[in-house]
Amino acid sequence: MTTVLIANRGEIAVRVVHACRRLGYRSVVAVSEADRDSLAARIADRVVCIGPAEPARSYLRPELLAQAAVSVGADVVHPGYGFSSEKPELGELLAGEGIAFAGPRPETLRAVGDKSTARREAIAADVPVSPAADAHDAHTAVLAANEIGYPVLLKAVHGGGGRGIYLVNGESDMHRLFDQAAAEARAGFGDAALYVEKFYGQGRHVEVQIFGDGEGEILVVGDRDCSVQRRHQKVIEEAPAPHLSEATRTLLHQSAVKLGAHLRYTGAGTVEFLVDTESRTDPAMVVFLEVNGRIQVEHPVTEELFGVDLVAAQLLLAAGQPTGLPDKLDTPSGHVIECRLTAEDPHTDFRPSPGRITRLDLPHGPGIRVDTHVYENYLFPPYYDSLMAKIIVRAHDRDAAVARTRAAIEATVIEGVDTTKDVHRFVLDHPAFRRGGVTTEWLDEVWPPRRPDPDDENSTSPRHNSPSKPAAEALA
Amino acid sequence: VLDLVAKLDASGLEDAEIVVGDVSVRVSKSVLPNNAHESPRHAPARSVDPDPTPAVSATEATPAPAPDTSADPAGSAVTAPMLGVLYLRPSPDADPFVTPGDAVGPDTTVAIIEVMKMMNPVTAGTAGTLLEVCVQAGQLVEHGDVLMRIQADG
Repeated sequence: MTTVLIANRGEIAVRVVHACRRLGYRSVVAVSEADRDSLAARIADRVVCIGPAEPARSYLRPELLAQAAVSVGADVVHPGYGFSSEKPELGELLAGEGIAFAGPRPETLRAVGDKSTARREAIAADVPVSPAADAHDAHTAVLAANEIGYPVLLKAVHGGGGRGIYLVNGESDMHRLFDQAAAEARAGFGDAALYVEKFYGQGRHVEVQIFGDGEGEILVVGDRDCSVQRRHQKVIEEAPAPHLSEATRTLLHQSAVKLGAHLRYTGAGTVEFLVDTESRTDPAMVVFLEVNGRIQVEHPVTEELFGVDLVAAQLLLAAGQPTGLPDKLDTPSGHVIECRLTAEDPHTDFRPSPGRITRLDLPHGPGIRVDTHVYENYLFPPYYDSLMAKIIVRAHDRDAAVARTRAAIEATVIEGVDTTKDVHRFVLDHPAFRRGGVTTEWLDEVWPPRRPDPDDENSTSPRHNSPSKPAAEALA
Repeated sequence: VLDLVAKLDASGLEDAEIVVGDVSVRVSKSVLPNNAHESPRHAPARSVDPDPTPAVSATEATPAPAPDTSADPAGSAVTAPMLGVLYLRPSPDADPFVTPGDAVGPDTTVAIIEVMKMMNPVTAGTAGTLLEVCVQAGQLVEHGDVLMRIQADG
């Protein structure tokens, strides 16, 4: 019997246990001390406690996860998302023990794990990237910015998670900000290297789901729009991305295939792009952002639209079995929306709100799926990401999907902790979202709803340097 | 290895690798350094637990494990700080680190937990007399498992 070690927690661990059950695989979940009572632990065939609550001493340790896999006799390890999912070391340790990793090869993770190498791979695969240039000092940065055209972003080469990014509107800004940005890059990422990149102020986040066989064959499983973001954290996702021309969609899908084939990508992955809503060309201006070498939080919108099981396909591929995915998928009619309900208070700057869940009513009805790890009386722990539940709703078209999602959010009752339900209500009711195609800056402009403040427009400040974002950062 | 571990304990070093002839041993105070891929050429025999079921009880039925310093009638528990393969001797033909009746101090090494060929010493954590060893060498231990009990001094 195939044994799967699940090297993750929360709703994705539950999701993988369910996939194991479907496939007749034995599931073992690796938990921290804080997750012994988790839903995944309750429903898995076996549980092993790998370390204390702190992620740095449990879920972020490839060695502990690999040792757990060896000790329980696992054939496959599923890493979920975040935590150790994109650490090449985990796959390497497992390969040394003859255990399969349900994810891309370690060298693929290395190639796409860093902004500059990922960009190099994209260029090599003939995928459009934003105009950019290395900046060794303020002088070369100014030359590069003149070439590219202001405004530009000044970014740390080794930065990540939306940190270490400065918006620069002109030459005087560049002189003023360069040294500061370099010092911050050195302090934050251990390397002062910076580069200048064109800034698209009106971009949408559109990503393409791919599934590779590891030999260069890439299946496209449609696209998703994840532009509703709070400080670079996705809040609502939908599939397909609304209002894209056929030419733009084709460009996105073909670019993803080119990059996936170039990487000989293995398993489920996502290629993220920015679509410039100000471009008047067809196809629209599209630039590569990054590759996510893992299953993503928002994978259910794709699964529900296409009627596929991406997590099962990951496990089957790792186990050396046929994935059950077709060779080619036509885009079906219909539309799917996912809302991420988190344990945060959206009225007090999204302050985390862990605690005991005293009441839980989940929505039911046609086309409704809920992926969650919370249950009534569950003590939602303070150590991890605040994601509580994903409400996923499918309907025959986008208008119907928005309306039904709105009703499903209303029908969702979680008591004992604060939730972001009000944000979802607000977005789903908002005319701009209902029209479709908002930009990634949009939610931060409209939430929290407030009186206009003309003094609030200092756009040369390090606006992308949002307050620290803990574990959630890796979950995009 | 015991000697090395004791010396590491006494030193200010976080971890150390010692090579004597064709034997190299790496010891560490921190839970797990990141550079743990390098495998020592000699280490306590690695045993992949052939029958894991007796070693691990179903966690759902297990109450929260005793905290490291819980004092109960049977003495203070020494618990596993991480998951791994437990060893009670510094090498297969050496004497055990400790046996019941031995006096231990908080920093006395009482066992080693191997995680992917990385040896992590486990210390008593409390001063007293060793009452019993609750686990078998070579078995998988999970974080929080009770390894030993100590009758605390005073």
